[in-house]
Amino acid sequence: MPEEKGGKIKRRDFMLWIGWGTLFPVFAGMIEETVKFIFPNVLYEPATTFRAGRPEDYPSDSVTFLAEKRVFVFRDNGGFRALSAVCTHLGCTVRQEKKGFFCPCHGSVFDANGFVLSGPAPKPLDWLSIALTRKGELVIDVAKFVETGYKLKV
Amino acid sequence: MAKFNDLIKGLRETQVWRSIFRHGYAPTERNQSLAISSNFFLHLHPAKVRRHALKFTYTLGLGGLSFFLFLVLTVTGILLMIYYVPSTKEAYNNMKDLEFVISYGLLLRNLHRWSAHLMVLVVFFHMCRVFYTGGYKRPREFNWGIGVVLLLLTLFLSFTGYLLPWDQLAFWAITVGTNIASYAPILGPKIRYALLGGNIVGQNALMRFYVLHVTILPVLMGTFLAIHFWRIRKDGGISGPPIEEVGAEEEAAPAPLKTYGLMGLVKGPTPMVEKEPEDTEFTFPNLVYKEIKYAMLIMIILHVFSFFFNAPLEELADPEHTPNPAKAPWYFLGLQELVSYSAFLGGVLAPALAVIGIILIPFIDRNPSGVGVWFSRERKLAIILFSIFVLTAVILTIIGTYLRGPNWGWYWPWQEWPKH
Repeated sequence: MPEEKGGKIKRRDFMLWIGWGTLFPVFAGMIEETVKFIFPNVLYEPATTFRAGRPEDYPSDSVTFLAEKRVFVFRDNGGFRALSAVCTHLGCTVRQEKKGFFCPCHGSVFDANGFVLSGPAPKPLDWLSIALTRKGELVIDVAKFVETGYKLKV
Repeated sequence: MAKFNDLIKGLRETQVWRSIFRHGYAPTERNQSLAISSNFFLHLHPAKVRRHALKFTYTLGLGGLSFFLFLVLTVTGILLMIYYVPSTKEAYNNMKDLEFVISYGLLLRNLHRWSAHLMVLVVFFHMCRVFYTGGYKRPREFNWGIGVVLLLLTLFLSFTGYLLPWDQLAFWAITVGTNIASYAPILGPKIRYALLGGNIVGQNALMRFYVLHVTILPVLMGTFLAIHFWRIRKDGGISGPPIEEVGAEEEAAPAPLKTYGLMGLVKGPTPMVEKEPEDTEFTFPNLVYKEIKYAMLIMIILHVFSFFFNAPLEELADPEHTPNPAKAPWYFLGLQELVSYSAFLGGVLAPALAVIGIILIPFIDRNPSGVGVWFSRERKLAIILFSIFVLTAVILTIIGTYLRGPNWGWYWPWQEWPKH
Protein backbone atom coordinates (compact mmCIF):
# COMPACT_ATOMS: atom_id res chain seq x y z
CA MET A 1 0.00 0.00 0.00
CA PRO A 2 1.40 3.36 -0.97
CA GLU A 3 1.44 5.88 1.83
CA GLU A 4 -1.34 8.40 2.23
CA LYS A 5 -0.37 11.80 0.92
CA GLY A 6 -1.10 14.31 3.62
CA GLY A 7 -4.48 12.77 4.53
CA LYS A 8 -5.92 13.58 1.12
CA ILE A 9 -8.39 11.19 -0.43
CA LYS A 10 -6.72 9.20 -3.12
CA ARG A 11 -8.05 9.44 -6.64
CA ARG A 12 -8.67 5.69 -6.80
CA ASP A 13 -10.70 5.66 -3.57
CA PHE A 14 -12.65 8.67 -4.73
CA MET A 15 -13.61 6.93 -7.97
CA LEU A 16 -14.50 3.80 -6.03
CA TRP A 17 -16.85 5.79 -3.82
CA ILE A 18 -18.50 7.33 -6.85
CA GLY A 19 -18.93 3.86 -8.32
CA TRP A 20 -20.54 2.27 -5.28
CA GLY A 21 -22.40 5.47 -4.48
CA THR A 22 -24.05 5.31 -7.90
CA LEU A 23 -24.64 1.59 -8.04
CA PHE A 24 -26.58 1.26 -4.80
CA PRO A 25 -29.04 4.12 -5.38
CA VAL A 26 -29.66 2.81 -8.90
CA PHE A 27 -30.49 -0.65 -7.55
CA ALA A 28 -32.60 0.81 -4.77
CA GLY A 29 -34.44 2.91 -7.32
CA MET A 30 -35.13 -0.05 -9.55
CA ILE A 31 -36.47 -2.05 -6.64
CA GLU A 32 -38.69 0.84 -5.59
CA GLU A 33 -40.02 1.27 -9.13
CA THR A 34 -40.86 -2.41 -9.40
CA VAL A 35 -42.54 -2.67 -6.02
CA LYS A 36 -44.58 0.50 -6.50
CA PHE A 37 -45.56 -0.62 -9.99
CA ILE A 38 -47.07 -3.80 -8.56
CA PHE A 39 -49.44 -1.90 -6.26
CA PRO A 40 -52.36 -0.53 -8.27
CA ASN A 41 -53.31 3.10 -7.59
CA VAL A 42 -56.81 2.87 -8.96
CA LEU A 43 -59.20 -0.02 -8.52
CA TYR A 44 -62.25 -0.77 -10.59
CA GLU A 45 -63.91 -2.81 -7.90
CA PRO A 46 -67.61 -2.63 -7.06
CA ALA A 47 -68.53 -0.11 -4.34
CA THR A 48 -68.48 -1.48 -0.82
CA THR A 49 -71.75 0.32 0.05
CA PHE A 50 -75.00 -0.88 -1.38
CA ARG A 51 -78.72 -0.30 -0.97
CA ALA A 52 -80.45 -3.22 0.66
CA GLY A 53 -84.08 -2.32 0.06
CA ARG A 54 -86.64 -0.83 2.44
CA PRO A 55 -87.11 -1.90 6.02
CA GLU A 56 -90.61 -3.16 5.19
CA ASP A 57 -89.03 -5.75 2.86
CA TYR A 58 -87.75 -7.62 5.88
CA PRO A 59 -90.29 -9.50 8.02
CA SER A 60 -89.88 -9.05 11.76
CA ASP A 61 -87.79 -11.66 13.55
CA SER A 62 -86.15 -12.73 10.31
CA VAL A 63 -82.70 -13.40 8.95
CA THR A 64 -82.04 -12.64 5.30
CA PHE A 65 -78.90 -13.71 3.46
CA LEU A 66 -77.88 -11.27 0.74
CA ALA A 67 -75.73 -13.76 -1.14
CA GLU A 68 -74.26 -11.41 -3.68
CA LYS A 69 -72.86 -9.15 -0.96
CA ARG A 70 -72.19 -11.92 1.55
CA VAL A 71 -74.20 -10.21 4.33
CA PHE A 72 -76.79 -11.51 6.79
CA VAL A 73 -79.48 -8.94 7.66
CA PHE A 74 -81.27 -9.55 10.96
CA ARG A 75 -84.48 -7.90 11.95
CA ASP A 76 -85.86 -8.29 15.45
CA ASN A 77 -87.54 -6.14 18.09
CA GLY A 78 -84.37 -4.18 18.67
CA GLY A 79 -84.07 -3.19 15.02
CA PHE A 80 -81.75 -4.06 12.15
CA ARG A 81 -78.25 -5.42 12.23
CA ALA A 82 -75.95 -6.56 9.44
CA LEU A 83 -73.49 -9.38 9.98
CA SER A 84 -70.72 -10.17 7.52
CA ALA A 85 -70.76 -13.73 6.16
CA VAL A 86 -67.03 -13.57 5.49
CA CYS A 87 -65.21 -15.90 7.87
CA THR A 88 -62.61 -13.95 9.84
CA HIS A 89 -60.19 -16.87 9.53
CA LEU A 90 -59.47 -17.12 5.79
CA GLY A 91 -62.40 -15.50 4.05
CA CYS A 92 -64.74 -18.32 3.09
CA THR A 93 -68.48 -17.69 3.17
CA VAL A 94 -70.05 -19.02 6.36
CA ARG A 95 -73.42 -20.72 6.21
CA GLN A 96 -76.21 -20.41 8.73
CA GLU A 97 -77.21 -23.62 10.43
CA LYS A 98 -79.59 -23.85 13.40
CA LYS A 99 -77.89 -21.98 16.24
CA GLY A 100 -75.13 -20.19 14.45
CA PHE A 101 -72.73 -19.99 11.55
CA PHE A 102 -70.40 -22.66 10.20
CA CYS A 103 -67.40 -22.16 7.94
CA PRO A 104 -67.00 -24.94 5.37
CA CYS A 105 -63.28 -24.39 4.79
CA HIS A 106 -61.66 -24.96 8.18
CA GLY A 107 -64.53 -25.62 10.55
CA SER A 108 -64.92 -22.36 12.50
CA VAL A 109 -68.23 -22.12 14.38
CA PHE A 110 -69.85 -18.81 15.38
CA ASP A 111 -72.92 -18.16 17.53
CA ALA A 112 -75.92 -16.10 16.44
CA ASN A 113 -74.10 -12.86 17.32
CA GLY A 114 -71.02 -13.87 15.43
CA PHE A 115 -68.89 -14.77 18.46
CA VAL A 116 -66.44 -17.63 17.93
CA LEU A 117 -67.61 -20.87 19.56
CA SER A 118 -64.89 -23.12 18.20
CA GLY A 119 -62.43 -23.51 15.36
CA PRO A 120 -59.51 -21.43 14.12
CA ALA A 121 -61.29 -18.08 13.58
CA PRO A 122 -59.29 -15.44 15.49
CA LYS A 123 -62.17 -12.95 15.99
CA PRO A 124 -65.95 -12.70 15.77
CA LEU A 125 -67.76 -12.12 12.50
CA ASP A 126 -67.79 -8.42 11.62
CA TRP A 127 -70.85 -6.31 12.32
CA LEU A 128 -71.34 -4.04 9.36
CA SER A 129 -72.40 -0.43 9.19
CA ILE A 130 -76.12 -0.24 8.42
CA ALA A 131 -78.04 3.02 8.05
CA LEU A 132 -81.13 4.59 6.56
CA THR A 133 -81.08 7.05 3.68
CA ARG A 134 -83.34 10.10 3.70
CA LYS A 135 -85.62 8.25 1.32
CA GLY A 136 -85.94 5.47 3.87
CA GLU A 137 -83.71 2.85 2.25
CA LEU A 138 -81.27 0.64 4.10
CA VAL A 139 -77.61 1.18 3.23
CA ILE A 140 -74.94 -1.33 4.20
CA ASP A 141 -71.18 -0.89 3.91
CA VAL A 142 -69.28 -4.19 3.78
CA ALA A 143 -65.97 -2.46 4.42
CA LYS A 144 -67.08 -0.44 7.44
CA PHE A 145 -67.27 -2.31 10.70
CA VAL A 146 -69.28 -1.21 13.74
CA GLU A 147 -69.06 -2.41 17.31
CA THR A 148 -70.67 -5.71 18.17
CA GLY A 149 -74.26 -5.20 19.33
CA TYR A 150 -74.97 -2.15 17.18
CA LYS A 151 -78.53 -2.11 15.93
CA LEU A 152 -80.32 0.29 13.64
CA LYS A 153 -83.63 1.28 15.15
CA VAL A 154 -86.35 1.94 12.63
CA MET B 1 -30.85 -52.36 -49.13
CA ALA B 2 -27.27 -51.93 -50.19
CA LYS B 3 -28.29 -48.83 -52.06
CA PHE B 4 -29.99 -47.45 -49.00
CA ASN B 5 -26.90 -48.02 -46.90
CA ASP B 6 -24.81 -46.31 -49.54
CA LEU B 7 -27.21 -43.39 -49.46
CA ILE B 8 -26.89 -43.08 -45.70
CA LYS B 9 -23.14 -43.36 -45.95
CA GLY B 10 -23.07 -40.69 -48.61
CA LEU B 11 -25.29 -38.47 -46.51
CA ARG B 12 -22.92 -38.77 -43.58
CA GLU B 13 -20.09 -37.53 -45.74
CA THR B 14 -21.86 -34.42 -46.94
CA GLN B 15 -20.65 -31.07 -45.70
CA VAL B 16 -24.04 -30.32 -44.13
CA TRP B 17 -24.04 -33.49 -42.03
CA ARG B 18 -20.46 -32.96 -40.97
CA SER B 19 -21.18 -29.40 -39.97
CA ILE B 20 -23.83 -30.67 -37.52
CA PHE B 21 -22.26 -33.89 -36.22
CA ARG B 22 -18.57 -33.59 -35.75
CA HIS B 23 -17.81 -37.18 -34.87
CA GLY B 24 -18.57 -40.62 -36.24
CA TYR B 25 -21.01 -43.15 -34.92
CA ALA B 26 -18.62 -46.07 -34.70
CA PRO B 27 -18.60 -47.40 -31.12
CA THR B 28 -15.17 -46.21 -30.21
CA GLU B 29 -14.45 -44.70 -26.83
CA ARG B 30 -13.60 -41.44 -28.50
CA ASN B 31 -16.97 -41.26 -30.20
CA GLN B 32 -18.78 -42.22 -27.02
CA SER B 33 -17.10 -39.34 -25.26
CA LEU B 34 -17.73 -36.93 -28.09
CA ALA B 35 -21.40 -37.91 -28.21
CA ILE B 36 -21.69 -36.25 -24.81
CA SER B 37 -19.14 -33.49 -24.86
CA SER B 38 -19.91 -32.18 -28.34
CA ASN B 39 -23.68 -32.23 -27.89
CA PHE B 40 -25.28 -29.10 -26.52
CA PHE B 41 -28.09 -30.95 -24.77
CA LEU B 42 -26.10 -33.91 -23.51
CA HIS B 43 -23.05 -32.04 -22.29
CA LEU B 44 -24.99 -31.49 -19.10
CA HIS B 45 -23.69 -34.98 -18.35
CA PRO B 46 -20.08 -35.92 -17.71
CA ALA B 47 -18.54 -38.11 -20.43
CA LYS B 48 -18.15 -40.91 -17.93
CA VAL B 49 -20.13 -41.67 -14.81
CA ARG B 50 -19.47 -43.87 -11.83
CA ARG B 51 -21.05 -47.26 -12.15
CA HIS B 52 -22.67 -46.71 -8.77
CA ALA B 53 -24.52 -43.66 -10.07
CA LEU B 54 -26.06 -45.68 -12.88
CA LYS B 55 -27.83 -48.12 -10.56
CA PHE B 56 -31.56 -47.61 -10.76
CA THR B 57 -31.99 -48.86 -7.21
CA TYR B 58 -29.76 -46.04 -5.99
CA THR B 59 -31.45 -43.01 -7.55
CA LEU B 60 -34.78 -44.49 -8.72
CA GLY B 61 -34.33 -41.95 -11.51
CA LEU B 62 -36.31 -39.42 -9.49
CA GLY B 63 -34.27 -36.31 -10.27
CA GLY B 64 -34.25 -36.99 -13.99
CA LEU B 65 -37.94 -37.81 -13.88
CA SER B 66 -38.70 -34.49 -12.15
CA PHE B 67 -36.89 -32.65 -14.92
CA PHE B 68 -38.62 -34.67 -17.61
CA LEU B 69 -42.00 -33.84 -16.08
CA PHE B 70 -41.02 -30.16 -16.06
CA LEU B 71 -40.35 -30.42 -19.79
CA VAL B 72 -43.69 -32.16 -20.40
CA LEU B 73 -45.41 -29.43 -18.39
CA THR B 74 -43.64 -26.70 -20.34
CA VAL B 75 -44.66 -28.13 -23.71
CA THR B 76 -48.27 -28.93 -22.76
CA GLY B 77 -48.54 -25.61 -20.91
CA ILE B 78 -47.40 -23.58 -23.90
CA LEU B 79 -49.92 -25.39 -26.10
CA LEU B 80 -52.73 -24.72 -23.63
CA MET B 81 -51.82 -21.02 -23.67
CA ILE B 82 -52.98 -20.89 -27.29
CA TYR B 83 -56.61 -21.26 -26.24
CA TYR B 84 -56.61 -20.02 -22.66
CA VAL B 85 -57.63 -16.42 -21.99
CA PRO B 86 -56.95 -15.21 -18.43
CA SER B 87 -60.29 -13.49 -18.02
CA THR B 88 -62.87 -14.19 -15.34
CA LYS B 89 -65.51 -14.19 -18.06
CA GLU B 90 -63.76 -16.50 -20.50
CA ALA B 91 -61.39 -18.78 -18.59
CA TYR B 92 -64.04 -21.28 -17.52
CA ASN B 93 -65.51 -21.44 -21.02
CA ASN B 94 -62.03 -22.08 -22.37
CA MET B 95 -61.87 -25.13 -20.11
CA LYS B 96 -65.16 -26.37 -21.54
CA ASP B 97 -63.91 -25.74 -25.07
CA LEU B 98 -60.76 -27.69 -24.33
CA GLU B 99 -62.91 -30.51 -23.04
CA PHE B 100 -65.56 -30.67 -25.76
CA VAL B 101 -64.52 -28.74 -28.84
CA ILE B 102 -60.79 -28.53 -29.38
CA SER B 103 -59.05 -31.56 -30.90
CA TYR B 104 -57.05 -33.29 -28.18
CA GLY B 105 -57.74 -30.33 -25.89
CA LEU B 106 -58.94 -32.59 -23.13
CA LEU B 107 -55.93 -34.87 -23.51
CA LEU B 108 -53.52 -31.95 -23.31
CA ARG B 109 -55.23 -30.54 -20.23
CA ASN B 110 -55.26 -33.96 -18.59
CA LEU B 111 -51.60 -34.49 -19.42
CA HIS B 112 -50.74 -31.08 -17.99
CA ARG B 113 -52.68 -31.60 -14.76
CA TRP B 114 -51.58 -35.17 -14.10
CA SER B 115 -47.94 -34.40 -14.90
CA ALA B 116 -48.16 -31.57 -12.38
CA HIS B 117 -49.57 -33.88 -9.70
CA LEU B 118 -46.93 -36.48 -10.48
CA MET B 119 -44.20 -33.84 -10.39
CA VAL B 120 -45.15 -32.78 -6.86
CA LEU B 121 -44.98 -36.42 -5.79
CA VAL B 122 -41.72 -37.16 -7.62
CA VAL B 123 -39.94 -34.03 -6.42
CA PHE B 124 -40.90 -34.90 -2.84
CA PHE B 125 -39.71 -38.50 -3.31
CA HIS B 126 -36.49 -37.16 -4.82
CA MET B 127 -35.89 -35.12 -1.68
CA CYS B 128 -36.52 -38.22 0.45
CA ARG B 129 -34.15 -40.28 -1.72
CA VAL B 130 -31.39 -37.73 -1.36
CA PHE B 131 -31.94 -37.60 2.38
CA TYR B 132 -32.01 -41.36 2.97
CA THR B 133 -28.83 -41.88 0.93
CA GLY B 134 -27.04 -39.00 2.66
CA GLY B 135 -26.66 -37.15 -0.62
CA TYR B 136 -26.91 -33.70 0.98
CA LYS B 137 -23.66 -34.04 2.91
CA ARG B 138 -20.50 -32.12 2.21
CA PRO B 139 -19.80 -30.89 -0.46
CA ARG B 140 -23.45 -30.94 -1.57
CA GLU B 141 -25.00 -28.77 1.17
CA PHE B 142 -25.70 -25.85 -1.15
CA ASN B 143 -27.31 -27.98 -3.83
CA TRP B 144 -29.63 -29.47 -1.21
CA GLY B 145 -30.80 -25.93 -0.51
CA ILE B 146 -31.34 -25.27 -4.21
CA GLY B 147 -33.37 -28.48 -4.28
CA VAL B 148 -35.62 -27.20 -1.50
CA VAL B 149 -36.18 -24.01 -3.51
CA LEU B 150 -37.13 -26.17 -6.50
CA LEU B 151 -39.64 -28.07 -4.35
CA LEU B 152 -41.19 -24.76 -3.27
CA LEU B 153 -41.32 -23.52 -6.87
CA THR B 154 -43.04 -26.78 -7.86
CA LEU B 155 -45.67 -26.17 -5.20
CA PHE B 156 -46.16 -22.50 -6.16
CA LEU B 157 -46.48 -23.49 -9.81
CA SER B 158 -49.10 -26.08 -8.89
CA PHE B 159 -50.99 -23.55 -6.78
CA THR B 160 -50.96 -20.80 -9.41
CA GLY B 161 -51.88 -23.41 -12.02
CA TYR B 162 -55.07 -24.71 -10.54
CA LEU B 163 -56.35 -21.15 -10.04
CA LEU B 164 -56.51 -20.51 -13.76
CA PRO B 165 -59.67 -22.48 -14.78
CA TRP B 166 -61.67 -20.05 -12.60
CA ASP B 167 -63.85 -22.76 -11.15
CA GLN B 168 -64.95 -23.04 -7.53
CA LEU B 169 -61.63 -24.63 -6.54
CA ALA B 170 -59.76 -21.74 -8.15
CA PHE B 171 -61.81 -18.96 -6.58
CA TRP B 172 -61.74 -20.30 -3.05
CA ALA B 173 -58.10 -21.33 -3.27
CA ILE B 174 -57.15 -17.76 -4.19
CA THR B 175 -59.36 -16.48 -1.38
CA VAL B 176 -57.83 -18.78 1.22
CA GLY B 177 -54.28 -18.59 -0.15
CA THR B 178 -54.09 -14.82 -0.23
CA ASN B 179 -55.69 -14.61 3.21
CA ILE B 180 -53.01 -16.94 4.57
CA ALA B 181 -50.44 -14.53 3.09
CA SER B 182 -52.08 -11.68 4.98
CA TYR B 183 -51.22 -13.44 8.26
CA ALA B 184 -47.50 -13.01 7.49
CA PRO B 185 -45.88 -10.65 10.00
CA ILE B 186 -45.79 -6.90 9.25
CA LEU B 187 -46.13 -7.05 5.46
CA GLY B 188 -49.01 -9.56 5.41
CA PRO B 189 -51.91 -7.33 4.29
CA LYS B 190 -49.67 -5.60 1.72
CA ILE B 191 -48.64 -8.95 0.23
CA ARG B 192 -52.31 -9.86 -0.08
CA TYR B 193 -53.11 -6.54 -1.76
CA ALA B 194 -50.24 -6.98 -4.21
CA LEU B 195 -51.16 -10.60 -5.01
CA LEU B 196 -54.82 -9.74 -5.61
CA GLY B 197 -54.10 -6.42 -7.26
CA GLY B 198 -56.80 -4.96 -5.04
CA ASN B 199 -59.09 -6.04 -2.23
CA ILE B 200 -61.30 -8.58 -3.95
CA VAL B 201 -60.69 -11.81 -5.82
CA GLY B 202 -61.38 -10.78 -9.39
CA GLN B 203 -59.87 -10.01 -12.77
CA ASN B 204 -56.70 -8.40 -11.38
CA ALA B 205 -56.03 -11.45 -9.22
CA LEU B 206 -56.51 -13.88 -12.11
CA MET B 207 -54.16 -11.88 -14.33
CA ARG B 208 -51.47 -11.76 -11.66
CA PHE B 209 -51.59 -15.47 -10.97
CA TYR B 210 -51.54 -16.13 -14.70
CA VAL B 211 -48.38 -14.07 -15.15
CA LEU B 212 -46.82 -15.84 -12.17
CA HIS B 213 -47.74 -19.23 -13.60
CA VAL B 214 -46.63 -18.80 -17.19
CA THR B 215 -43.63 -16.51 -16.89
CA ILE B 216 -42.21 -15.55 -13.51
CA LEU B 217 -42.26 -18.95 -11.82
CA PRO B 218 -41.16 -21.01 -14.87
CA VAL B 219 -38.24 -18.63 -15.48
CA LEU B 220 -37.21 -18.94 -11.84
CA MET B 221 -37.61 -22.70 -12.08
CA GLY B 222 -35.43 -22.88 -15.20
CA THR B 223 -32.76 -20.76 -13.55
CA PHE B 224 -32.65 -22.81 -10.37
CA LEU B 225 -32.73 -26.06 -12.36
CA ALA B 226 -29.67 -24.89 -14.27
CA ILE B 227 -27.87 -24.09 -11.02
CA HIS B 228 -28.96 -27.44 -9.56
CA PHE B 229 -27.55 -29.42 -12.50
CA TRP B 230 -24.41 -27.31 -12.70
CA ARG B 231 -23.73 -27.89 -9.03
CA ILE B 232 -24.15 -31.66 -9.38
CA ARG B 233 -21.21 -31.59 -11.81
CA LYS B 234 -19.19 -29.15 -9.75
CA ASP B 235 -19.73 -31.17 -6.57
CA GLY B 236 -18.27 -34.24 -8.21
CA GLY B 237 -21.26 -35.94 -9.80
CA ILE B 238 -24.15 -37.43 -7.90
CA SER B 239 -23.44 -38.72 -4.43
CA GLY B 240 -22.00 -42.15 -3.84
CA PRO B 241 -19.86 -44.08 -1.38
CA PRO B 242 -16.44 -42.54 -0.77
CA ILE B 243 -13.99 -43.31 -3.55
CA GLU B 244 -11.33 -45.81 -2.52
CA GLU B 245 -8.00 -44.22 -3.18
CA VAL B 246 -5.36 -45.96 -5.18
CA GLY B 247 -2.54 -46.97 -2.84
CA ALA B 248 -4.36 -45.83 0.24
CA GLU B 249 -1.48 -45.69 2.72
CA GLU B 250 1.23 -43.96 0.77
CA GLU B 251 1.18 -40.22 0.46
CA ALA B 252 -0.40 -39.61 -2.90
CA ALA B 253 0.92 -36.77 -5.00
CA PRO B 254 -1.24 -33.70 -4.41
CA ALA B 255 -4.23 -33.85 -6.71
CA PRO B 256 -4.07 -31.25 -9.43
CA LEU B 257 -6.44 -28.37 -8.86
CA LYS B 258 -7.22 -28.34 -12.53
CA THR B 259 -7.64 -31.33 -14.76
CA TYR B 260 -7.62 -30.92 -18.48
CA GLY B 261 -9.50 -33.44 -20.48
CA LEU B 262 -12.84 -34.34 -21.91
CA MET B 263 -14.64 -32.56 -19.16
CA GLY B 264 -12.86 -29.38 -20.00
CA LEU B 265 -11.52 -27.27 -17.22
CA VAL B 266 -12.78 -28.57 -13.92
CA LYS B 267 -11.89 -27.30 -10.48
CA GLY B 268 -12.00 -29.39 -7.36
CA PRO B 269 -13.08 -33.00 -7.01
CA THR B 270 -14.22 -34.84 -10.09
CA PRO B 271 -15.47 -38.41 -10.28
CA MET B 272 -12.33 -39.27 -12.17
CA VAL B 273 -9.73 -38.30 -9.62
CA GLU B 274 -7.54 -41.02 -8.09
CA LYS B 275 -9.76 -43.86 -9.08
CA GLU B 276 -9.67 -47.12 -10.93
CA PRO B 277 -10.89 -46.69 -14.50
CA GLU B 278 -13.12 -49.76 -14.07
CA ASP B 279 -15.37 -47.82 -11.70
CA THR B 280 -16.78 -45.70 -14.47
CA GLU B 281 -18.76 -46.25 -17.60
CA PHE B 282 -19.40 -44.11 -20.61
CA THR B 283 -22.48 -41.94 -20.24
CA PHE B 284 -23.29 -42.59 -23.86
CA PRO B 285 -25.01 -44.92 -24.37
CA ASN B 286 -25.27 -46.41 -20.86
CA LEU B 287 -27.01 -43.51 -19.10
CA VAL B 288 -28.51 -41.69 -22.07
CA TYR B 289 -30.39 -44.74 -23.34
CA LYS B 290 -31.70 -45.45 -19.86
CA GLU B 291 -33.00 -41.90 -19.64
CA ILE B 292 -34.72 -42.13 -23.01
CA LYS B 293 -36.36 -45.46 -22.15
CA TYR B 294 -37.52 -44.15 -18.77
CA ALA B 295 -38.93 -40.97 -20.33
CA MET B 296 -40.81 -42.99 -22.94
CA LEU B 297 -42.27 -45.27 -20.28
CA ILE B 298 -43.49 -42.32 -18.21
CA MET B 299 -44.93 -40.65 -21.31
CA ILE B 300 -46.92 -43.80 -22.09
CA ILE B 301 -48.16 -44.07 -18.50
CA LEU B 302 -49.21 -40.39 -18.51
CA HIS B 303 -51.11 -40.86 -21.76
CA VAL B 304 -52.91 -43.99 -20.56
CA PHE B 305 -53.80 -42.28 -17.29
CA SER B 306 -54.97 -39.12 -19.10
CA PHE B 307 -57.07 -41.27 -21.39
CA PHE B 308 -59.01 -42.81 -18.51
CA PHE B 309 -59.10 -39.98 -15.97
CA ASN B 310 -60.09 -36.40 -16.61
CA ALA B 311 -58.48 -33.47 -14.85
CA PRO B 312 -60.82 -32.14 -12.18
CA LEU B 313 -62.98 -29.14 -13.02
CA GLU B 314 -65.48 -27.87 -10.49
CA GLU B 315 -68.44 -25.59 -11.10
CA LEU B 316 -67.96 -22.04 -12.31
CA ALA B 317 -66.50 -19.77 -9.63
CA ASP B 318 -69.29 -18.52 -7.38
CA PRO B 319 -68.26 -15.88 -4.84
CA GLU B 320 -71.60 -16.28 -3.08
CA HIS B 321 -71.23 -19.89 -2.04
CA THR B 322 -68.24 -21.73 -0.70
CA PRO B 323 -68.40 -25.46 -1.48
CA ASN B 324 -68.82 -27.60 1.63
CA PRO B 325 -66.30 -28.95 2.29
CA ALA B 326 -63.93 -26.74 0.27
CA LYS B 327 -60.89 -28.92 -0.24
CA ALA B 328 -57.56 -28.10 -1.86
CA PRO B 329 -55.82 -30.66 -4.12
CA TRP B 330 -54.30 -33.53 -2.14
CA TYR B 331 -50.80 -32.04 -1.87
CA PHE B 332 -52.10 -29.06 0.09
CA LEU B 333 -54.53 -30.94 2.33
CA GLY B 334 -51.88 -31.41 5.01
CA LEU B 335 -51.44 -27.64 5.03
CA GLN B 336 -55.21 -27.13 5.07
CA GLU B 337 -55.43 -29.45 8.08
CA LEU B 338 -52.74 -27.39 9.84
CA VAL B 339 -54.48 -24.14 8.96
CA SER B 340 -57.72 -25.48 10.45
CA TYR B 341 -56.03 -25.22 13.85
CA SER B 342 -54.56 -21.74 13.38
CA ALA B 343 -54.02 -19.59 10.33
CA PHE B 344 -50.77 -18.06 11.58
CA LEU B 345 -49.25 -21.12 13.27
CA GLY B 346 -50.35 -23.59 10.62
CA GLY B 347 -50.25 -21.41 7.55
CA VAL B 348 -47.21 -19.23 8.14
CA LEU B 349 -45.03 -20.28 11.07
CA ALA B 350 -45.06 -24.08 10.71
CA PRO B 351 -44.37 -24.10 6.94
CA ALA B 352 -41.69 -21.41 7.31
CA LEU B 353 -39.94 -23.34 10.09
CA ALA B 354 -40.22 -26.58 8.12
CA VAL B 355 -38.60 -25.01 5.06
CA ILE B 356 -35.81 -23.34 7.05
CA GLY B 357 -35.24 -26.57 8.99
CA ILE B 358 -34.96 -28.67 5.84
CA ILE B 359 -32.54 -26.21 4.21
CA LEU B 360 -30.37 -26.29 7.34
CA ILE B 361 -30.23 -30.11 7.58
CA PRO B 362 -26.74 -30.42 5.99
CA PHE B 363 -25.37 -27.86 8.44
CA ILE B 364 -26.97 -29.46 11.48
CA ASP B 365 -26.16 -33.06 10.57
CA ARG B 366 -22.37 -32.82 10.30
CA ASN B 367 -21.85 -36.58 10.48
CA PRO B 368 -19.93 -37.32 7.27
CA SER B 369 -20.58 -41.08 7.14
CA GLY B 370 -23.24 -43.10 5.42
CA VAL B 371 -23.14 -41.38 2.04
CA GLY B 372 -24.12 -43.44 -0.98
CA VAL B 373 -26.16 -46.15 0.71
CA TRP B 374 -29.82 -46.28 1.59
CA PHE B 375 -30.66 -46.06 5.30
CA SER B 376 -27.09 -46.27 6.56
CA ARG B 377 -26.91 -47.61 10.12
CA GLU B 378 -24.38 -44.90 10.93
CA ARG B 379 -27.11 -42.26 10.61
CA LYS B 380 -29.84 -43.68 12.81
CA LEU B 381 -30.82 -40.45 14.57
CA ALA B 382 -30.95 -38.34 11.41
CA ILE B 383 -33.03 -40.96 9.63
CA ILE B 384 -35.48 -41.25 12.51
CA LEU B 385 -35.92 -37.46 12.77
CA PHE B 386 -36.48 -36.99 9.05
CA SER B 387 -38.87 -39.94 8.96
CA ILE B 388 -40.93 -38.32 11.70
CA PHE B 389 -41.22 -35.20 9.55
CA VAL B 390 -42.20 -37.21 6.45
CA LEU B 391 -44.68 -39.27 8.46
CA THR B 392 -46.25 -36.13 9.93
CA ALA B 393 -46.73 -34.69 6.45
CA VAL B 394 -48.24 -37.96 5.20
CA ILE B 395 -50.59 -38.33 8.19
CA LEU B 396 -51.80 -34.72 7.92
CA THR B 397 -52.44 -35.24 4.21
CA ILE B 398 -54.37 -38.46 4.86
CA ILE B 399 -56.47 -36.76 7.53
CA GLY B 400 -57.25 -33.84 5.22
CA THR B 401 -58.05 -36.13 2.31
CA TYR B 402 -60.04 -38.95 3.85
CA LEU B 403 -61.16 -37.94 7.32
CA ARG B 404 -62.53 -34.44 6.82
CA GLY B 405 -66.07 -33.78 5.67
CA PRO B 406 -68.59 -30.93 5.64
CA ASN B 407 -67.61 -27.95 7.81
CA TRP B 408 -64.18 -29.59 8.05
CA GLY B 409 -65.68 -32.00 10.58
CA TRP B 410 -64.13 -35.37 11.36
CA TYR B 411 -65.74 -38.22 9.45
CA TRP B 412 -64.49 -41.80 9.38
CA PRO B 413 -64.49 -43.34 5.91
CA TRP B 414 -67.48 -45.53 6.85
CA GLN B 415 -69.50 -42.58 8.16
CA GLU B 416 -71.92 -41.00 5.75
CA TRP B 417 -71.71 -37.25 5.19
CA PRO B 418 -74.92 -35.39 6.16
CA LYS B 419 -77.01 -34.35 3.20
CA HIS B 420 -77.92 -30.74 2.63
